[in-house]
Amino acid sequence: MIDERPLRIWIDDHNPIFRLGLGACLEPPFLLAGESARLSPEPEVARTDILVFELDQAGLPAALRLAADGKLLLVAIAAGADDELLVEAIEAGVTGALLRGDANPTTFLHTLRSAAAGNGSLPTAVLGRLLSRPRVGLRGAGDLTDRELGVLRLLSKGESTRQIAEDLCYSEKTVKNIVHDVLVRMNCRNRAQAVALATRRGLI
Amino acid sequence: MQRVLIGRFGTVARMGLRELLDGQGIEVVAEAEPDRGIVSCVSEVRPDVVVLDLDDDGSLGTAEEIASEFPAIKVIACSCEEPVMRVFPPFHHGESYASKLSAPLLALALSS
Repeated sequence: MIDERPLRIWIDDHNPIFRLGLGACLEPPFLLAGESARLSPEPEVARTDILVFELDQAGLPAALRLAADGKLLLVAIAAGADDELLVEAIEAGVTGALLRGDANPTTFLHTLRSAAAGNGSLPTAVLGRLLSRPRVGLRGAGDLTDRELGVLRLLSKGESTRQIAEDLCYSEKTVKNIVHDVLVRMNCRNRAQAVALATRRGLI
Repeated sequence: MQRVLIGRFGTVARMGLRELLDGQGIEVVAEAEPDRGIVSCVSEVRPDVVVLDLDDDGSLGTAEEIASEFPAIKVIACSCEEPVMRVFPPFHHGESYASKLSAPLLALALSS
């Protein structure tokens, strides 16, 4: 659940119309902290909770650098679902992603809410792409228990904590604990990253 | 004060354009209706400037159509992806020039 503390959003996009439009989509608890084009002026990380940035070759490493201290959440706006950078971004710990063409007030706010709640959110097309990637092998499979792999598989289908709890006949608390253990063990920042990594390693 | 008609844009772009024009004190007199041709809106509203979506493939043709039917009306086609716009000044037979797109530059192009 999200508490009602204001969440400060910094929006970076090099097109002024699209940037202002994303800003105009915001509603409480989200507040506009500032905006920039190609990360100029540099986002003020100290007074930003979520950085919305443009996913490109320059934008991704710059955004990851800004988020290096671990507090800033990242949401990527991607040009297309076939973008290899999207996979890279999720694996590097970007919390949410939204396709530029899919952006509207509903999808944008949903992506921000998911990011704020720590769930992550991916365009369906991207999730499908992640799942269809060639499997690298079973290296590291021994690190996760069957129970953890089961939860990861359901996460990869986009199920919520509650749905997973119902499917596996666990309590929600147990599912959250399992997810937490998985994140720690895989050294991931969030669920989306864990699913991406597990998929790439062929664990699920 | 210039009277501006906004053509069809995606939701985010339309909100952004509104925000941008509001911030520059520019009045939007109408927005194109989804199931009606822009040229018929233009002929009814008679704006001073029409703003079109440069990313829409049909926009350049529409701009030329407006330029030939309503030569006194200026058309500005703005991209919502790249920071560029294309300006069709009035009385120039559909000639146009490209410019960088920023809030002040668009305001200047609209009001000059």
